Amino acid sequence: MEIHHEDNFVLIEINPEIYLLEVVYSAAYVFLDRAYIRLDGDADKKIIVELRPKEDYSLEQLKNEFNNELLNYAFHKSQIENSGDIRNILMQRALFIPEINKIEKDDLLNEEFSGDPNEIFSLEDSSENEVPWEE
Amino acid sequence: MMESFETFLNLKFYNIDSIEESIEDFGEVCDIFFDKCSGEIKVISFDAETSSEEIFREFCNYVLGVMKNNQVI
Repeated sequence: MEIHHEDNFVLIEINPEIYLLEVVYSAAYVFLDRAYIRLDGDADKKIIVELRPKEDYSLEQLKNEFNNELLNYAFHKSQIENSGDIRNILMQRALFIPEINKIEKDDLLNEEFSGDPNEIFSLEDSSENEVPWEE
Repeated sequence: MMESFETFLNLKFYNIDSIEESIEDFGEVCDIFFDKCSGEIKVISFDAETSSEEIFREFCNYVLGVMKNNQVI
């Protein structure tokens, strides 16, 4: 980690085995409003992030906040991975339960209705209830 | 006289399509010449008050913004 006070920028070297490139991007996106960001280095060995504050922003603060953001997104990513199975199960339930409910409801309707289904259709089709568009 | 700034963008980190999209958007304020193979980039500012280097920094952020948007979509 290098702080260049005279040129007003910070260089942060990141080990991609600790923080994946995806995490570095996420942290960089958060800083687009606060700093000019440039990514360099080797995506497999060493990622170099150059941060240049846009306004009066201390270089130390910028560096520390970026490191915090890296940690934040690394944690977020690991949580997403850990809860992936549970999330999938919940999604499946959320998608399938209405279908199950619908089937059960249809079954109940079929059981309760004992009349002639043609009577319903005959009422709906009755021309007595029809109102011409002109009226 | 229009000043120019030459540098490079590491293509391991910047998506070429996003760079090209950004170049189109920056067309009104500067000329940007970009070599797809080497990542070399040359910025020529049209505006005397804004240096080519400043535009380049904005450009880098803009490319990251485009990449983010494309990822979300």
